[in-house]
Amino acid sequence: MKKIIACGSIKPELEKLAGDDPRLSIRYMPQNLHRLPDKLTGKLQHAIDETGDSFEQVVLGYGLCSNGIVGIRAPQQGLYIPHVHDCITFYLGSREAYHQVFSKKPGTYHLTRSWIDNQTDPLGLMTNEYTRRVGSEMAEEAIRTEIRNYQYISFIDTGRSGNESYRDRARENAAYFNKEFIEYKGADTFFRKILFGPYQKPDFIYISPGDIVKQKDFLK
Amino acid sequence: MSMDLSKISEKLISGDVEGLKQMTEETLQTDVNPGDILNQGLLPGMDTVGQRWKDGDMFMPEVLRCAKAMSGAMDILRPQLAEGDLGNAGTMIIGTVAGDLHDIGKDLAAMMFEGAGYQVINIGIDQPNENFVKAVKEHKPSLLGMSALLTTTMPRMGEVINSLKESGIRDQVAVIIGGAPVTEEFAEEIGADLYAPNAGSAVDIAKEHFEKKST
Repeated sequence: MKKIIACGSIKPELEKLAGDDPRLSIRYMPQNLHRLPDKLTGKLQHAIDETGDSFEQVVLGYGLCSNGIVGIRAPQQGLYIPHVHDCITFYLGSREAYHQVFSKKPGTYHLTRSWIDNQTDPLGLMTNEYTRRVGSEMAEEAIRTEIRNYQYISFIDTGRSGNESYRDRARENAAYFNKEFIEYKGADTFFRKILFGPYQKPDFIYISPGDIVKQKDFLK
Repeated sequence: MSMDLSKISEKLISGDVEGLKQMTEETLQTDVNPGDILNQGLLPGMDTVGQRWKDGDMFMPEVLRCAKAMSGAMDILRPQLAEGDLGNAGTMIIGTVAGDLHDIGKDLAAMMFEGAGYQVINIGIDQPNENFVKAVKEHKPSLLGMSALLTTTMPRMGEVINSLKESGIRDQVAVIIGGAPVTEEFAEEIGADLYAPNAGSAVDIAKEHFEKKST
């Protein structure tokens, strides 16, 4: 049996593919921990340490995620980690797709359904968290400053039903902040690999038992 | 007259934009050296802001409000600093590497180096490696600052250093790097001279480096 420890933000995609496959035991962590990389490391290590020795393989449903997984120690089974910088690669389906999107349009704020649900789209951040922290005027100034050099806001459509309202929300973001809206067709290829493998290079990094995840593993 | 400049730091950390402007003006009315307001008030304040952000005790909108307060204070301080004896710390080139469009931290650092007397040439965001090399050749700075906010673009900083080596000008300039995902270990690995964990500490780190070098 296999243990998968994944970010809560990709739960819908993984659940759909995993069904009730008895070979899989999936644990989802609270999403948004990547915004506090130091906390992510601690919580993730705790979850890994709790896994125990009954599983043949342990796989993370995380990428480098703002260095949030740096410093994590692999369990006795070793640890497979997707060789990606962040979850955008998961949604786009492959490292190649990510590389293409990123090199063609680096100034893109990518939105997925989870991000919108979690109110971490620019409008969501502004009207909720930022306004609560600094008041509405400074909230707007802050978010505009943060994304001032971005040219695009994208929606990555993974084909889930009910995506229309999310696409609309992404468009609304683009219009409000004067960005160009673009849409990418997502794929479930990488989500599938997280669940079923093969855990091979270059898609995955293997950390030997007791070894520590390093940033430089991901920069190759 | 000695004045407790930690009040300036506190005002900055609290993100009180108007309050900090007023306090800066009032402090200048006394015979406090404008350089001291910067070095003992504003820079330590921004250093604290940077640390709190890293620790997750402060979030982006608060940090940006502090940056705005800093910027307002610098507008008041700048003419006074220019008149003082701080105006010739050297030339600095600063920019964000190719593929990376983030400039909040980089511009903050630029503002602080300017305040500390550097002639800062800010070459902007998304700068191809060769533009850093070209700027170093052209302006012969004592310091080159590079910023990257993404783990995907960080490696460009190492490439710029290699290009400087290939051009035979690596020894002419001290390289300082920073940005949220950048670590001291990474700085060492790519052969940067200095690593700044945040914009507020960068000036001090550079200053220390040059003082050590000259002794």
